[in-house]
Amino acid sequence: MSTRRDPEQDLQQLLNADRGDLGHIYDKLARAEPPPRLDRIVLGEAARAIRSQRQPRAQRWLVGFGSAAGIVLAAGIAWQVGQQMQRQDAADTSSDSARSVIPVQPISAPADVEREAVYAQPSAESVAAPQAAAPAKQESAPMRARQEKPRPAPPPAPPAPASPPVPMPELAKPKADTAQPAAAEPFPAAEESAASAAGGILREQADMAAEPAAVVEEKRASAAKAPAPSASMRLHRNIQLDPEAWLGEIIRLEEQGRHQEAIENLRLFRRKYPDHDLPDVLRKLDP
Amino acid sequence: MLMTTSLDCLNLASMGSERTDEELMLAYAGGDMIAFETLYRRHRGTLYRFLLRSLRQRADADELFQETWSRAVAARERYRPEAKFSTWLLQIAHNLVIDRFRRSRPHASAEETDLLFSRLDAPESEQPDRVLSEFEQRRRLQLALEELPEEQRVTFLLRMENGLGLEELSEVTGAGRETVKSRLRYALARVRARFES
Repeated sequence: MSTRRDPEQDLQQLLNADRGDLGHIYDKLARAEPPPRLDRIVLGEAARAIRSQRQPRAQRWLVGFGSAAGIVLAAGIAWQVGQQMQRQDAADTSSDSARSVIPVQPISAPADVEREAVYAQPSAESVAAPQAAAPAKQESAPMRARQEKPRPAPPPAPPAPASPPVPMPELAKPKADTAQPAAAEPFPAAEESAASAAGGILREQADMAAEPAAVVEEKRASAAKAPAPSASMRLHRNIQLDPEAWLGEIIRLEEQGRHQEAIENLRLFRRKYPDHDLPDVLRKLDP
Repeated sequence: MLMTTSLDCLNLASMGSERTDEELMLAYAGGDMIAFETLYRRHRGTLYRFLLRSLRQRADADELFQETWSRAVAARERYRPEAKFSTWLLQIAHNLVIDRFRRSRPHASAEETDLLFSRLDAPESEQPDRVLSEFEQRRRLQLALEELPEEQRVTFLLRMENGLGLEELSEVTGAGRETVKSRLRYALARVRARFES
């Protein structure tokens, strides 16, 4: 009699949950454990892997955040600059429009035409000025805007008539027969109405001074075709007259029916020469 | 002292013991070190014994134990919970063991296996009928395991130590189901032969 083990049956016993009789013996074998040294090595390596995994993620987060912040900052700066440019453009436009709305009154008197012709004559300084002032035209818009703001009162002019005030080289040139440098007188702060009216003239003069000679010539030709300078220009010119001549001009304006212009001239005259006696014909106009 | 520190670490790791292996591995991949400690505590013993009995050299077992966990750590972000963690870990260990075998030893010849089966067919009168002591049973099993050809030993150990079924054995070893069954049959025959010699 022989005991033949069936390999299939033996295999089935091994694949059972208890793994058969060999399973029982196997479970009684020494249950070796990894040494603590291996535990430390494995756990340490796993912890290092996690730390090194966190570090690059933080760096990536920082890079991403930095890039986003940079983009936002750049966009903010661009927006601010754009807004500033728009405001400056609006200011330029408003100043241009303000300049263009200066009332223009036709000149009917021959004396005026004669004076305009004198005014239109280019002086040596005004022709030379564009070249000197040309670089100023290249300045940035903010600089130009600052220059176009109401200018402070010019300093008192020296007594010598050969040194005209800088802001208005042509208009401030005193007449040879005038004892007082009228244009050199500072405008009082209260003269805002007259000064603002004159401000447009000053800006035009400054712009003309800043333009090249060819442009000045062209403008001069077109100015010759123009009917008349504005009342404010005449007013500014009258300021430079001596008191008697100015009073005569005021009387003439009143006689011509240009009552409002006469009143404005008289008001400015009274501020400039408060102690000067007025003729009777003008006393009734004195406000 | 070192042992105490290691055990403290493992006790701390037991806090996440209610989670499955797969959840723990995903948590570790997300940066949870406690999850890894729990996972390590669960599998360190069975993995180490599988390696020690497969390789028979403690130094080799230590080396491949460390290497197995190192590869699991490195591959944590590629791990997908569709794969059972124990199967995945044993797959890594099995591949390392097979590589080690291929570098060190030739396979057992087919003639040896045939000789073993012929001895199993021996009549009972020729079989030892004495009852072996428990100690002798363990010693013979140990010797039988050491004498098994590598592929048979590994397959047999994966079944005995890690409790893998045929499908899991096939998945871990990369062999077909019938091949796995054949290896188990040959391993059983050799072990029986050692017991009955």
